[in-house]
Amino acid sequence: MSHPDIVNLGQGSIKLNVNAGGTIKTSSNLDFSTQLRKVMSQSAHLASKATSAAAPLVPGASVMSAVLSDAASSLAYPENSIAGMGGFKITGSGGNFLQSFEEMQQNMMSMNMQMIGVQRQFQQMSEQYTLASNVLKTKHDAEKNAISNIR
Amino acid sequence: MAKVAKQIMISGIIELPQEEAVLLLEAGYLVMQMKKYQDAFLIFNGVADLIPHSDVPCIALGNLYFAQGKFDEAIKEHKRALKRNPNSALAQAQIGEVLFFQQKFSEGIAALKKAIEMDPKGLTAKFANELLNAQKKHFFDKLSVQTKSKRGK
Repeated sequence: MSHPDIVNLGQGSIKLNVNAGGTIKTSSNLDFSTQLRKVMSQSAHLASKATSAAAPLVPGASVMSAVLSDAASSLAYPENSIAGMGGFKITGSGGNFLQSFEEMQQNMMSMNMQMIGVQRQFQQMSEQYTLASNVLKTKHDAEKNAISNIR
Repeated sequence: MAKVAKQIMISGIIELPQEEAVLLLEAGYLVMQMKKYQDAFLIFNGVADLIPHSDVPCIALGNLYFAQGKFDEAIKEHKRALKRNPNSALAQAQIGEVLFFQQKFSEGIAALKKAIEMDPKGLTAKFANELLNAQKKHFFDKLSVQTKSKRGK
């Protein structure tokens, strides 16, 4: 017996579903989504570990590490997250992705400001060094000239 | 045959070869940089007595006092150099430098301008110009604060 919404295209085994509306059918097999979530959780966990290792060397890495750690735990325990948000928690205590992201941005901004300050300070020091160097060099030259021409 | 350079003699209280006077003064500066101020003083003072007409040993003595932070004594020695040789642009420029370190900027600028007038194309004029440039950029303001805080410790 053939299904009313399925049209047989010629002699082969290819069949086309022509039902435009009606109920959305979902697969009862959730293996793929579970596997995907598992893999993503593992990779986020791995990335979190890597960034935490690099935290002392790279500015902002500690914040990034915390965010990735949150993401990994959200993917590992989907019951804590809201459906449709890719496994990341929006509200609740503990790790909060958006809040962490904002925190990270703020940290990066303050670090940039600090960096600009340090650069300015370095420039000033370099200018002072050049001034002192020029004065000392010309003084040395003038004195050496005076000594070698002593009469 | 190799040519032998004629030795220039300086007629001070005794006849002194110029080479030896130069050697003594350079040795004095080296000793001063080693912070053996007493030894440097003996050398410069000795040369100043040997060549009583030259301004150079007095300038060296002024530099020695300056290196020790004794600015008033340094100015005295540079003025002695100017008495010996009123056309000594270097002594005049050194006075300007010391005055900058004493935060007497207007007097320092005047001294340095005078030094440039004395020897406008020489090495001393370059030195004086560098000092004026540094003063314009407030180099000596900060330096004085650092010196004062170091002395306070």
